[in-house]
Amino acid sequence: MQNNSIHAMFPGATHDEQAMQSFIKNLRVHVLREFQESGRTVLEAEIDPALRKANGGRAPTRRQLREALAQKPRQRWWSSMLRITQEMLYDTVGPSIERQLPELIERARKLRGRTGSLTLDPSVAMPRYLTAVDIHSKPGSYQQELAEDDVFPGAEFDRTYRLYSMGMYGPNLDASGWSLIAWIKQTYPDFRPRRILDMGCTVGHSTLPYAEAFGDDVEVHAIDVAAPCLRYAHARAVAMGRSVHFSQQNAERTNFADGSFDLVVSHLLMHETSHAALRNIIKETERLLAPGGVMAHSDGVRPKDLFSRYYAEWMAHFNNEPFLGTIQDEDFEAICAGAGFDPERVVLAQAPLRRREDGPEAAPLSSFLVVGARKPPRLNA
Amino acid sequence: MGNEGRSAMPGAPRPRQRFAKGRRPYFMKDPDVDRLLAIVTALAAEVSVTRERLDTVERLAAEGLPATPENIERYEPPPEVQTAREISRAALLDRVFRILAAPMEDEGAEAEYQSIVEQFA
Repeated sequence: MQNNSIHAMFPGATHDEQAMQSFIKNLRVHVLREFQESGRTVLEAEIDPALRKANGGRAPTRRQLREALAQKPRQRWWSSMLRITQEMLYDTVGPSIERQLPELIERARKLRGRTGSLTLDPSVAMPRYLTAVDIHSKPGSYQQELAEDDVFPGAEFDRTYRLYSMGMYGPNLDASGWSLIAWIKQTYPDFRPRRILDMGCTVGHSTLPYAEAFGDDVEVHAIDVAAPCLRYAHARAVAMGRSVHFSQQNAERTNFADGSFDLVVSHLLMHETSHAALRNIIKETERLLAPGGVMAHSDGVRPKDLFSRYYAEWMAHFNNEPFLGTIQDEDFEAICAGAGFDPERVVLAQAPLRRREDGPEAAPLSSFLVVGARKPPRLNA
Repeated sequence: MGNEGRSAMPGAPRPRQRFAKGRRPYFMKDPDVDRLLAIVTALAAEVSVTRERLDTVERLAAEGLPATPENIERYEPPPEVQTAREISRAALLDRVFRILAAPMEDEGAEAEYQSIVEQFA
């Protein structure tokens, strides 16, 4: 068996499983390149000018872009291939994880509780926006349990995300975390958080950098609604020697006391929610922050880039990401103001993707929207 | 499909779900073309896996090792072999999807050819 593990919880692969997964990675590189090149060219040269003319000068809607590109044979082929690649990703990794599942569950049990903690709460209901369809077309989504103490969706995600990201997120798949940390440190140079919360952590890829980026005396908490992902996240954090307190909670309303945290972050959480939940999450963040605390929610929102708008719409419509289209048009300043943040202290920015906080930009066209804000410091300090 | 919502059970794991909940989109004029494309692509993946296994067998033989299943599983490709395989997989995809790199019917290829025919008329 090829040993390409990066931590003790990382699932293995037989010779042929590895060969199949490597093929899927190459397939994704090939398909995404063709999809992007053909889409971008026809959008800029033909579709955007024609739709602007038809709209009396106004920018085309996401739906207009999607419907116009659906008429183009080349985009139809590569759209079909992109969906097939996504399905093959799970159909390749899934059986390999299934084969190893009893052993992976046993490994997670042995690692449990050695550092940090894991608190599961079966009374936490899965919100409708995560159960209406299987997110990312991942069969069973992120909450499906196949056995007692199951880790299947988390283990599967750790390998599929490695293939999906095609090396862009680094060996520990933590580039989202490091990118946001770099942005926080640049934007608030004097800021030294002690208590940190990561919302919607999945298996903690982006969480772990927070346990090393702000010194040894930080207390890092991470929440998610999906129990099998949290079990895997906890075991993975222990295996990687990081102390994180994972708990099963909905980011719209947590059980932490008011003012519990200096820093509340999320990575690619917002687009997996809904119009109503997004507002609840920003309100909950405001409640959880101590005076002087910082909010930094990051996500793949690039409303001004034509191809990104089309791609978000494509994913929303064809890859089970129901809110990814709508979120491109959300008014984040108004949402933050509505949640009680001082509009003068709200920052919206595009943070470039980096693999380390002090690393170079990993991909020139890759960036996240950061929805940031800082609460005023305590008075009479 | 249809496993969702059941609670975790002690004992042997139940089978994983094979299809995602949510309608499956089709893109071609005839959805059977999407289905056939999925079948052909899955077969291309199988060919790639077989080629890689054969490559391992040949590399074991070059080291004087028999191609037993155990030796194949134990084989760890060095970086130069990984790079060669990466190039080989990309080349396989270029060959399999070659026709899709050609100009398509809406991209002016027909009009351009007609103008050439007329030039020589």
